Amino acid sequence: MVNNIYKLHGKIKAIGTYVGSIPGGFKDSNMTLSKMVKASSIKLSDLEQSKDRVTPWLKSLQVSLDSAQQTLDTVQDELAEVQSIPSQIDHWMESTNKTLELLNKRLMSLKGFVMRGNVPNCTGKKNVSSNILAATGNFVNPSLDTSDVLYHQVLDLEEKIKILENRVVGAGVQLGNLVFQSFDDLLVWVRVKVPKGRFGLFVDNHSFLKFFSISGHIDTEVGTAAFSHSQRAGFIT
Amino acid sequence: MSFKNLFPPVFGKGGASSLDNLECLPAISNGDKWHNGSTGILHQLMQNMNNVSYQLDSSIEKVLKDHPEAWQLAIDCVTAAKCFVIVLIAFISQEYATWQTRGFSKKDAWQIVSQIIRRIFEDLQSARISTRTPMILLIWISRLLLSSTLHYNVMMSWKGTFNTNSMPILMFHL
Repeated sequence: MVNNIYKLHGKIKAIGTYVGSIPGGFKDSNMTLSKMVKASSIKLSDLEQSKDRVTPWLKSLQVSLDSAQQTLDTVQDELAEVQSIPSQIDHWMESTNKTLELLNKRLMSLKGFVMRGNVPNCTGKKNVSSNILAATGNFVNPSLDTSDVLYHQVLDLEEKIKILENRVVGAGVQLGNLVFQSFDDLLVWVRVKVPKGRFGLFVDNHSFLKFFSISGHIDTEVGTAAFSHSQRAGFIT
Repeated sequence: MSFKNLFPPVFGKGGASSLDNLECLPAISNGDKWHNGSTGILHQLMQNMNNVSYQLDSSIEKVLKDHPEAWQLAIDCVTAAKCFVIVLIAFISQEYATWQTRGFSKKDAWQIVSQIIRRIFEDLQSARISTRTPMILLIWISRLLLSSTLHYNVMMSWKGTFNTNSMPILMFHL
């Protein structure tokens, strides 16, 4: 009985000691929590500062993205335009090939006339000519009539005028300080001198203005009205 | 595509047919939007001029450095376009001020200036479209530079007489 009382007393004493240590534990926990709250508040203020720093950067990034989007739209337009080039070139090549075939046939026909020594004239008669130069007017064959010579001289002059018109009047192209006699010459120049698909770097007045990004512009009246509204609503600006 | 738009985005996109009844530029409805103290499209154009020029020059230098003739032509194009834009900016500001000093209100003066600008870009567009041929798109390059040169002169003629008959003839034939 006495032993039990001693044991019980010892347990009660131990419990009393444990209970006495509880306030100290609460105090330590309170200190720890205070430190954690202080650290969290410091981190929070750091995050707010970071947010303040990041916000303008995000805005500028948004503007840059808008500008990049516009550029991308432009590039897509130009790309669609460039993609249509092959079909156009093919069409042009087909027509050119047909023209070349016709010219070849004409040349073969003329060659046949020359080889046979026959040159057609305006009257439909066939005169014997030993030299093709007679047909060009550079050499007058005594066997030809005066009218035939004149006729061929006129043909020659007409051909020369056509060539001159094509080269000087009809198809002249000027690019800055560069002058091309025809679009064919320009085509050759572009193929030789310009990298493939790099036409977007050649700008004119209209396309040059497309590079300007005015999306960030806010009219003065609009800005003033927005400021006034925000003041009325109680926002601190 | 820029060939379908009468105006560049700075002045407001849109087809020529859809803008017949508009009295002002689509993106600049009054003179204050063009120039108002230290704000307006005028200032933004001038501020961005160097950036755009640098961007284009850098790209040209990078892409066409091994192609001297193409490089020179591209540089000429940019230079001519810059000259045009600078002259256009000065022209718009001067005309706006001039019409106001002649007794017109701000609104009327800006409408007059807008019609002049509109006419300039109509001529510019007609030159760009008329020189466009389905045969070959590469000719596009020549049209671009020609229109740059042409409309710089058109600007000058507008500035002098407002008579379209005095505009230089486009020496560009297909």
